[in-house]
This record gives sequence, C-alpha cells and structure tokens, in this order.
Amino acid sequence: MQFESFAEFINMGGYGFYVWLSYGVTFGCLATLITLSVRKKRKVLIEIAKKMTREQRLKENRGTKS
Amino acid sequence: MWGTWWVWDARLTSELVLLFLYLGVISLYASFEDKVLAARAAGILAIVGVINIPIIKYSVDWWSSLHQPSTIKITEKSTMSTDMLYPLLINIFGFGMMIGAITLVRYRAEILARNGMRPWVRELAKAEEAK
Repeated sequence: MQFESFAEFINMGGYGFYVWLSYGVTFGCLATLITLSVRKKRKVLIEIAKKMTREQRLKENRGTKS
Repeated sequence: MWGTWWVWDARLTSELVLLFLYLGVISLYASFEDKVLAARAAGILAIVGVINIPIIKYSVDWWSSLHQPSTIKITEKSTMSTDMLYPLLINIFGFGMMIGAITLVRYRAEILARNGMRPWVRELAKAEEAK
C-alpha cells in the first residue's frame, strides 16, 4: 500500500489525527521515561554527596559548640 | 476503521482493568515511607494481578467482540499477512529489549539509593560531585 504524496501520508486516509496523536503520545512517554531513567543515576549520587556534606557539617558544628 | 473510540468489549475492558492494576501498584508503592515494606505490598498486588494476563489473552476467544481473534499463532501458519506480521514481531522484540534495558538502568540507580550508607557508594558519590 503506497501513499501518493507526503500530504497524503500526513492525512493517513482520513485518520491522520488519531494516528499522529497516538504516535505523539507514545513517543513522548517513551522519551520522558528514557531520559528520566538515565538521569536518575546521576541524581541519586548527587543526593548522597549532598547528604554526606550535610553530615560532615553537623559533625563539625557539634564538635565546636560543645 | 474500528468505527469507534471505545466499546465495552472483552479485550478493551480487561485491558482497562490492567491499567487500573498498574495505577494501583504504582500508588501502593508510593504510599509507603519504608521502601522495603512498600516493595513487598506492591509485589503482592502485582502477583494477584497476574491473573488478568491470561484473561486478556484468551478474552478474544472466549467472548465474541469487536477485536479480531488471535492472528499470531505459534503452531500453525499465522492468519496475518507477512508484510504486517514481520514488522509487528520485530516491534514486539524491540520493545522487549528496550524495557529490559530501561529496567537495568533503573535497577542500577535503585541499588545506589538503597546502599547510600556503604563506603563504595560514598566514593562514587564524591566522584560524581567532583565532576
């Protein structure tokens, strides 16, 4: 089955809205999932590093105050 | 083509139930503070929900519905024409591989989060902060 022109490809035989909406939602969800999963590792490590600096600061303050 | 956006036929309804089960597992996991307990509760709900999968698969054969009966057969020749069947099978395989890869990536982040107190994780965190 062939489409005659690019305009017809966008139209998809009258069902263009449904097809491209489905494609768009699927693609958007998958792209979001992939980028969030890949960035999660870096975010987790930065969180742990921040917690470590916080603990370090608390220990120092406890030492100087008492 | 199907003539409608939604009907209450067997496959669509059982897949709606599947969607609600997914939402239930996600919200059950998110509602616990202690993640080990959360994982246990969500895991039990997921195991109970597995019963829905064979219902979805065979719902097309048990109830006559808008959906066509199974076209991908394992033992006999498929009833779908090959120019649609092969892209479908390739896509199923591709999605499976992608889900496996995403699961492994998230698993790595989860292991790091759970072991935040261990020295090897602290070293990795320091290295990451220095970047």
